[in-house]
Amino acid sequence: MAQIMENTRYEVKEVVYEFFAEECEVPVSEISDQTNIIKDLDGDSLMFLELIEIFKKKYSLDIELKTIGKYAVKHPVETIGQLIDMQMLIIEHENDILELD
Amino acid sequence: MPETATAFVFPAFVRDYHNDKSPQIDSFYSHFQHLLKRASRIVDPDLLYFHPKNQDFLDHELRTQYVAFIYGCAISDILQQKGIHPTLLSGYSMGIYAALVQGGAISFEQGLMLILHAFQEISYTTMTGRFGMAGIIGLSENDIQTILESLPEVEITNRNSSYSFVLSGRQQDLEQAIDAAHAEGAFHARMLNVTVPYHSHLLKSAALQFAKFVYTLDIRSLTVPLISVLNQEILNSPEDVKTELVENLYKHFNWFATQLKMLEMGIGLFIVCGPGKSLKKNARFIAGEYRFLSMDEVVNH
Repeated sequence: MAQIMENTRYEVKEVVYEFFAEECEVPVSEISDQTNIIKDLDGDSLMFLELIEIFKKKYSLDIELKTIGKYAVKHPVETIGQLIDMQMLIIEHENDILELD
Repeated sequence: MPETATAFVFPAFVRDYHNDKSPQIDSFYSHFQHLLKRASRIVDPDLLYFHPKNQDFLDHELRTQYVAFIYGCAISDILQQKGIHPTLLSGYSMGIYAALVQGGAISFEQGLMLILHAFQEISYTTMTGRFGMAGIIGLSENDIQTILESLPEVEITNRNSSYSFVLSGRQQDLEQAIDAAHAEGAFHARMLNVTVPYHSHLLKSAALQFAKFVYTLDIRSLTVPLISVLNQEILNSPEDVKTELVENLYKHFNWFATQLKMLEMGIGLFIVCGPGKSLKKNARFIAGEYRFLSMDEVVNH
């Protein structure tokens, strides 16, 4: 499992904000933790998938996409803040994320 | 003007026009209107009333195909007027018709008639049941094949990336596949807005009937080569084109492999000749030094 450092949440937040700003063609300043990914940014599941791939590489994560999918069904993500929270759990628990329930 | 090898890629359908910036380009919109008028005289008078702002025809499978075709032809014409010429063409699924017009193999009118005849033959074949297509994102091909072991009539008919697939079959079976995909951990699994199982064996008899029409047409050699989405071969001759038109209805295609092949051939710029962003989104999962742009991005940069 990846080691959660003091600045990990800051790193994740920065990547998530910059990713959605670029993909959705909106200034980073218009994105906040309360921003709704679908309603406000016209985001989609392909973006979610791409973001996970970015974090898998960045933190050398050992996790199957379908494990994240199963977790996301029980814990749906709507806002940027919720997505960052889930991403932190993925980094911390990897394939064991389902055991959190 | 691009200095790199450029491919024009043509989408099959339109899902929405919200983010389409093409109409903001004056030369595009007047030409688009001109082609709409021509099409309305040939195949469907109601096409005259189409306006992208109104999201017209999105639930009308035939008209949305016409509109995607007209968009494709108009965009590629404008790009060429601005000195931007493709070195390669590709049509995503039913995007083949606009790609063939662009490549000089068929006329605009022939393209419309091909869409109409294909749709009619497909409608006869599928009138006895409820069919469709579904998209699944987030599972591997093996995971989906496992799901389909109990649903033998459902086929994976296209691969958009390693984790994005399109299925075709009977609606009831597809709904079961969607439920199973959600249970297996798919991020996204839903029916697509079509009632035809494009690219599946269920359309083979329709394709054979369609072939009778295809082989009456005077189809010319391509002046710009087209890459087949079915087998990633390069097509040039009229015989190649006729075979592709017929097989395109009932054979599986692989958009992911087609993009990889185009990159391998040195394509550095892909220009989407259509209003949607789906093809651009799919390209996110392919690494490499290339750009994937819409017409307005090309014209405005």
